[in-house]
Amino acid sequence: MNYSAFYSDLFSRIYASSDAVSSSAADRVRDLLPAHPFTVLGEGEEIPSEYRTGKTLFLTTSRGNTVTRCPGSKGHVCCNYCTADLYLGCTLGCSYCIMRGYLNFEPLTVYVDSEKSITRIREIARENPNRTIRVGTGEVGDSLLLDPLCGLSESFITGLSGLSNVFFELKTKTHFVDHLLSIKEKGNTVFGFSLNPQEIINQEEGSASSLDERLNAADKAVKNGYLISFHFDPIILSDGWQEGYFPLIDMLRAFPQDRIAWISLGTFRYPKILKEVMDFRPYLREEFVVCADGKYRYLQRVRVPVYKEFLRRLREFSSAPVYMCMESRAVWEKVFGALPGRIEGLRPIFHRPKGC
Amino acid sequence: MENHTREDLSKLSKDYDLFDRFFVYDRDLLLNELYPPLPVCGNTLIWGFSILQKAGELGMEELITVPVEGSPAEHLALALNLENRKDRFTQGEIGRITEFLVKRNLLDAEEKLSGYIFSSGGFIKQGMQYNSLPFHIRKLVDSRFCDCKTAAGIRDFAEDHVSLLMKLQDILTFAERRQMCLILSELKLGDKMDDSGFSDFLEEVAGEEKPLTALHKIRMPNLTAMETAFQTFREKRLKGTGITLEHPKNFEGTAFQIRFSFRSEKDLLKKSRILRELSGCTDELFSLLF
Repeated sequence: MNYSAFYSDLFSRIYASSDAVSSSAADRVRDLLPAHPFTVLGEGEEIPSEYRTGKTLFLTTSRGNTVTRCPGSKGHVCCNYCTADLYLGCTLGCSYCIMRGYLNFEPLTVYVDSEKSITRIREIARENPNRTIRVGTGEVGDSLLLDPLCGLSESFITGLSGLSNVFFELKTKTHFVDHLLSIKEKGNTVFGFSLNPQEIINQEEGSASSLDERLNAADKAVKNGYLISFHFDPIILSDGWQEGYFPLIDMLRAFPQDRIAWISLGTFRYPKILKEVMDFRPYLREEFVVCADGKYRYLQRVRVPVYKEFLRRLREFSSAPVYMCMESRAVWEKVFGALPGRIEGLRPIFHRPKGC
Repeated sequence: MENHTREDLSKLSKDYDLFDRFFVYDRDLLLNELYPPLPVCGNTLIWGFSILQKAGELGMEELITVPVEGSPAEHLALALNLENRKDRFTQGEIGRITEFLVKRNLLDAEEKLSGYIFSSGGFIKQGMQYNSLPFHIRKLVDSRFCDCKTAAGIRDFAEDHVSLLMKLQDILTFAERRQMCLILSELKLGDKMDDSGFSDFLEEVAGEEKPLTALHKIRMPNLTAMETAFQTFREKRLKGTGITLEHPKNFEGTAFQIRFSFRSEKDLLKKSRILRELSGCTDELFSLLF
């Protein structure tokens, strides 16, 4: 893939804060996009309003705590995932993207000082020697969309490779793994692929990679010694949803199951604010009710059999840990028969680490 | 100060005739010349169109004017200042002000002008949104049937849909109308109704005693069916027993709640018997949750 052409098209200009300009990420960006206007912002300077758009890339350094626990959802079971925010924003353009509702600063922001996060993760790992630390960079941005451009993941992979209790996940809807395959010290790095039937990808996932591309990338990752994970999230229901999802579940049979670190399930949900900013999509015609966390979800009576069916089909061939993202205790009890703390295989990855 | 004849003033440019006419000076004030002088720049009347109109109705021949200089943005600021209706401009007026600025490439004047229009925040985005609406949809905003954003969601409704909607103006509150528009747009788009089918549908809904409730039932058929099944169960098993049964909100959760009070041992035994009978048919209830 010609990354230079890809990113040239993606962005029209680059801004960097003065403390980010000498970073290796900034050097890489300049190398790959030599013709793009590159402006360094002085102290207190801001990106001019006319360039505060999704076509602008902003390189800066992070403020405050760079590694935090996923905020979870009130009244719902949280998987205690830790997030290192490297990217703020995404250009993929998925119709259901929750960031549409939350983010009001449009330039795609990259926090280039990854060492700070790596150091913090190492501290957390040392503070929790007997606990599994799951940490990822894909909370408010795609982990790999900009990685060939900025090259931030490599230092995470190598920097965390010596920590046996850290599972560092790169969650993505792209297939941009090639530049990371030859890294020798991989540790427990997990390439996480968000999955949906190709029809939904075509209609709702903007410029994200195709299903085949993602699965091929997963295959390459495994063959090069990485762990992988799959995220059926969001599961979008419409008439005949089974025809799209069941063959997709079956496709996972092709992977060595012991290399799948985990599989997550999450039916489509949205906060009220998202619906206010998104255009009408056919899947919004389904029935949604407001839940304890204020988010709208399919009726519980609809969600439970969907999750059960996913779980049943996955269990036919996989012993990988399967969990639900942001679901209620009621749904957990009905689908799994227990809360994750009482489920062998999930208990370790749901443990809340100290300091995160 | 100068005097201009009403006839002369009527011939001046109406570029700044941007405001609705509901702010009208009292007859006596006008006849006693107790009104702000009308600012005029060359052949353009900057403000006072409602005064001019009222003066015509009163048969006044002359009006007091004052010559002013400045740029179009300064003139507009003066007009807005004299209008003195911060936070009370209609969407239509905001749309016209925005259009005025767009035509003259003066959008960067927003910051200076906003303070005359709103206590905080800009107005151009709102004005643009209003101006992007088809004329028949603007009617919904002008008549305060709904806000601009809600109207934008139903921009593809035909004129007769709008007329049918307007019939509900006095029956529903503003919040209910907003909710109604949202549900209607989802139904129209989601069910791909053609215009004629949608008109029939709207007519039917508008004829309901409680249109929003009726619409909600159509939008949420499964939830409605669950609610009905629950009510039927409760009626059949517990009506007149003094025992109340509640389901979790939106049928999200694992537990139903029962409440009762008792006044004697006999009363308690009676209620226990009813509960024992109820325990034999809870599958019916739990099927509503899972």
